[in-house]
Amino acid sequence: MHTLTFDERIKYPDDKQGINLEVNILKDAINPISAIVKLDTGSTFCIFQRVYADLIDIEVEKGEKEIIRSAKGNFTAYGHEITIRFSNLEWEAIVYFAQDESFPVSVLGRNGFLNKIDIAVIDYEQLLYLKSHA
Amino acid sequence: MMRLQKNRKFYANNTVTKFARFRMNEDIDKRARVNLSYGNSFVNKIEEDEIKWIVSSEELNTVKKFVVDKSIQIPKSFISFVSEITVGIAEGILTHCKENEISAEEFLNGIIEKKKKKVPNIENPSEVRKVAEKLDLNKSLEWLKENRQNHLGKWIILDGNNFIGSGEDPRPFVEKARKDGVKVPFVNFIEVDSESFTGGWL
Repeated sequence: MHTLTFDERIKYPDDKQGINLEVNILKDAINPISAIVKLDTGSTFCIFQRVYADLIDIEVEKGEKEIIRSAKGNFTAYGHEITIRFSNLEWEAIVYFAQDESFPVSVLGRNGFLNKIDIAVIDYEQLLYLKSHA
Repeated sequence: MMRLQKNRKFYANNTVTKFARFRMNEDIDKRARVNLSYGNSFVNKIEEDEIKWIVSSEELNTVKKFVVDKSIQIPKSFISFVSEITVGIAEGILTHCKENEISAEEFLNGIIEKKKKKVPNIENPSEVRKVAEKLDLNKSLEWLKENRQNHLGKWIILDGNNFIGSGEDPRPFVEKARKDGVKVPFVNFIEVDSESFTGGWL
């Protein structure tokens, strides 16, 4: 028997497109942007569409280049440290911005999201439970 | 009156006064008010024997402008967003300055220098912090639920449930929203419902 306790409970939208979570992203404490991003527990990284980099004043190609493998093939992305704010928590994380302007989705993956917080998902009720490691 | 004299003596001996000029105004309900010129000219108010730092909105804007103009990265123990510099944050800055016997200007310039040297400015970069204000985009989500079908395949920009614009490029709308004073624009691409998503990248 194991028991987990959480500080916050978040109701996410009933959406067949996935578990969509609301986050704020920002760089150097200026120009924050709100976005809805998919939770993707199978993704190694947090990936954002390129336009979000432009909106928080990040020059994509100045980041750490990474070739990322997907079921559909490889794509290029660049890593940058940004601040992610989710619910009542915030932290710094390396996330990747897709090089291709037409890259279609943004996802919250393991590094930078799942390895920063504790979460539990009850998908049939669209509920996400959350607490920080601290 | 005794208390007032005590406060006066306290301020005369306080290190803050090295940077400050102040004058007492005794007519406010037995309380003393001190106008304090300190670095960027902050206002300090005394209630009872405690010090309460209060930053006027005008002076707050000076700090904000300074921070934005210089692209300063404020330590996360003080601030989440520049747009959310509050009395509490300013209080944190001032207390830090007071404890270290430096002016607010010196402190802020020090942050700039750290950034130039690319020294990590955040005390615990991996730390997850609690923020005072919980992120709540319910208004934006409600708007999306009602209106998403009209904007399929486009970027939409909202301020809460206020529609700002939609199109193939969100950048001009966001730029305009910020100029109009929107602090945190909501930006989202409206996917076509008929296509499902599968992730799981390596």
